[in-house]
Amino acid sequence: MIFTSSTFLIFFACFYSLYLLLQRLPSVRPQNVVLLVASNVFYGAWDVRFLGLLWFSALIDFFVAQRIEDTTDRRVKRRWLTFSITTQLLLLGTFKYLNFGIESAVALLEALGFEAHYHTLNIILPVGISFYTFQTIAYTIDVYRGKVKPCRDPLDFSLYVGFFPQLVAGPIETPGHLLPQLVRKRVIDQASIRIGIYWILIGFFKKVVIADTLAPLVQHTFDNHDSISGVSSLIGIVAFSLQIYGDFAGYTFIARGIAKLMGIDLAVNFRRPYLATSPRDFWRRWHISLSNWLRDYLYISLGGSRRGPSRTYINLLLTMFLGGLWHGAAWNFAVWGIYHGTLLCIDHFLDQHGVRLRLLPTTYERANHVLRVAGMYVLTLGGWLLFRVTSMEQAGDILHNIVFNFHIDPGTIVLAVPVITLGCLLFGFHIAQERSENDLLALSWPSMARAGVYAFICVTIVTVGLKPIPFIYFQF
Amino acid sequence: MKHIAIRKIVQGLAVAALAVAGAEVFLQLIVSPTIEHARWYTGDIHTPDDKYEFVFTPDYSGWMRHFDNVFLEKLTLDPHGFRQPAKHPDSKQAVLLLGGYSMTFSYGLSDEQALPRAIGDALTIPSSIYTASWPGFDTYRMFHVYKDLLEAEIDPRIAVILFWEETLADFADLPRTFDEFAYSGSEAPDLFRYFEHSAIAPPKGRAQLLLGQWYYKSMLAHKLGNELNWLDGRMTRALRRLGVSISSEQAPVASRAPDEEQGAERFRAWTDYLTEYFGGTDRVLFVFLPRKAQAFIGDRYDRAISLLPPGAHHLDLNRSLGERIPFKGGYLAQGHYSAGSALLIGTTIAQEIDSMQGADKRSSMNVEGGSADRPDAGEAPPCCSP
Repeated sequence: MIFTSSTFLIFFACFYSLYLLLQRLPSVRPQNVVLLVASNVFYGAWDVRFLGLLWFSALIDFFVAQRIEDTTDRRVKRRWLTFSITTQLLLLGTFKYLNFGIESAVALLEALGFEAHYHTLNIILPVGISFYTFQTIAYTIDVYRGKVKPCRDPLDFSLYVGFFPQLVAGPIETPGHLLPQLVRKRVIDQASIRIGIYWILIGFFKKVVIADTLAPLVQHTFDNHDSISGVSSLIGIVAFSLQIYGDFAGYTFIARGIAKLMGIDLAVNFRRPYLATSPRDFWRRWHISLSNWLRDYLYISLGGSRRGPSRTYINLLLTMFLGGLWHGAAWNFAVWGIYHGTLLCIDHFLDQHGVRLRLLPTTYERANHVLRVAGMYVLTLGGWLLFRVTSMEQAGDILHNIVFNFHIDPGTIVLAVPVITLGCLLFGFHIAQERSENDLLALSWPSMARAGVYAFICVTIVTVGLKPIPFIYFQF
Repeated sequence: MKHIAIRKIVQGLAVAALAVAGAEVFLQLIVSPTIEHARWYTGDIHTPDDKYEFVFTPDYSGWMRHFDNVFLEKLTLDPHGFRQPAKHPDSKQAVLLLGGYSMTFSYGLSDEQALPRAIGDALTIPSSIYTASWPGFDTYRMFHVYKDLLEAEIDPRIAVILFWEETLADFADLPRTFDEFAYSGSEAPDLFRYFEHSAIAPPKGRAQLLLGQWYYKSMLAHKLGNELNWLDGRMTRALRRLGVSISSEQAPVASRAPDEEQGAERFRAWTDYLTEYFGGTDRVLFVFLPRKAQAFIGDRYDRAISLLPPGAHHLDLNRSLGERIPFKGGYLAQGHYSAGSALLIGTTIAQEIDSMQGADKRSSMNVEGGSADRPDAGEAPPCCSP
């Protein structure tokens, strides 16, 4: 069930009416029961078989966390934790990486001159498995670290794992943030409804108007990179940067909006990422919940920056390499991760040595800031090229096309107009938000201006039309 | 108090108008107007014409686009405005594809994927494949366009006459004689009308007609027209179920006489004429193209086939291939053939042409000109006759 489908809208209308009715009851439990049923329906709508995997994953960590808490022996705690993480990673590995692993091993053997025969398995990737396994791993580790108490109510814990707004594409929640909200009575007031509707509308706009409009354009430029000019190829990469942001941030905004309508705050996942001034700044703004997860549960576990500079760089590269692979079982994602890991290492190195990049004298600080944002955006585009291609050869061909075939062809203008229009709108809105330091900027405008924005958003969404096009991040 | 309320209403209306205007401008920019979906091509693909109302622009270079899996597909037309022929360097033998609307034109496909190429590649006897097929043009108009533009250049060994979806009633208005083009300008009953540098399918619904030209100019009006039309259809059906008599207005296209018998007579005369014109049954192949909703065709092709000249070669591809073309993936742009489907159709047509040419070679030893009755070519597949 996709947020932008009419099926979901009907489903949510039915669910939310019941949810609001139950809000009047003193106990939160009936609401949680309805929420759990709705979450099962929502997830089971993809494939009922996926539910078994989801609840198996939840069941393991529900019991393991209690065992960890109930024992005082550090080694036993550690054993339970290892068991839990191994099980979760095995699940993830089997369903997401097994075929990739076999194919890569065979390719390696063949490259070494061996003859290899193999069969890949016909395994369907369960939607959202990367998200909910990371969420349950976070829970067990936090219980192990003593940061949270284990949840002893299966209903509450099931909701923590399977809370439908964020189940299939995040934000990846930490137990300390989400679990307490599920247990206590929630407040649904006028403010939360206003914010919820605002986020949902923004999310729909980003997905339907920005991402889905640009999707065929991106497809065209990447599929025909050998027959279009370098400028058109470059426009295609810019378009992809807008598409993937619109798609993923759109999902997050809708998820946060829906949760907000239920009186639940989900973690912030995007904070104007293309206004980042450095690689570290970018990862504080892009897919924040994954960045935090990688930092808290992987980078720090590897030793973080506590073991000297060279180990720090290795940890950074390894974290980003695995973060890249998390996105998908393909080498271009791994290369994308290493690319960002390298950028982070360089950033770290420059910072450690007190080097601050400035193209202009310090008196032009604002211009320097703009140049840093532009520079980081160009670096980000390089990453998106690696992310979007289907092979490294394609990436090379596109780069070659951009460098050696840099001219305008008749199709360039046709491609450029929507990209420039949507880019200006997005950057303009983000710059206004950044300057006001207010994520809910439009909500602070006078009522008439607000109504105008809402009308504009609604009219464009309805005219473009709701199409049940899956979100890109579902495949991860 | 009253003044404040009026001011608020005025402000509200102004804001709404601004929002709607802003949305229109914004949408025109992000869904570029030159490739706006309703028109399917980048601008200036059509040129006004006194005889045919419009023709396809000679040497046109642009793109096809449709939200259904066609994104900026390159399109270059030849000096006559036809789709590029699939020329074979070693052969002077020509095969002509006549009619078949945008299906033969292969809307949404590149030249490499289009029907002429698929047929040319599959033929065992090397031939160059020419198309005289334009979207919106029936066989009658197309035949005259062919005579005006292409006939002097080629002498087709085989003429493939293609039909797609026509009912016999569609032929009822055909003129009494076929030698001269009988219509002028917009008199010709046809699928498309010329409108602002482009030929378009005229809107059929009441709500769409009400919006007039705005239906094609404005993104919002287009959407509104479609939605209102849907609502209108639902309400009309509901009222009819309640026994209320409602007349459903249709576009001018509906002015065709729905006379099946007259249509059958004209269809018979028309196919006889074409068969004779192109040199007899051994040089003419009638093809009835498959449709996405296969069942929609019903028995209309059967009736048409029964009216073909005796001994005429024909293929009912709706029957023989319809089920082999997947509903999903087999079509793009609202029912046009995908590359795979075009290949399948092209290969089947080529096999039949091959079989005709083999037969024709044998018969031409006896009868010069190839207009003799078709000799026994073995057991014909179920889709073919005789």
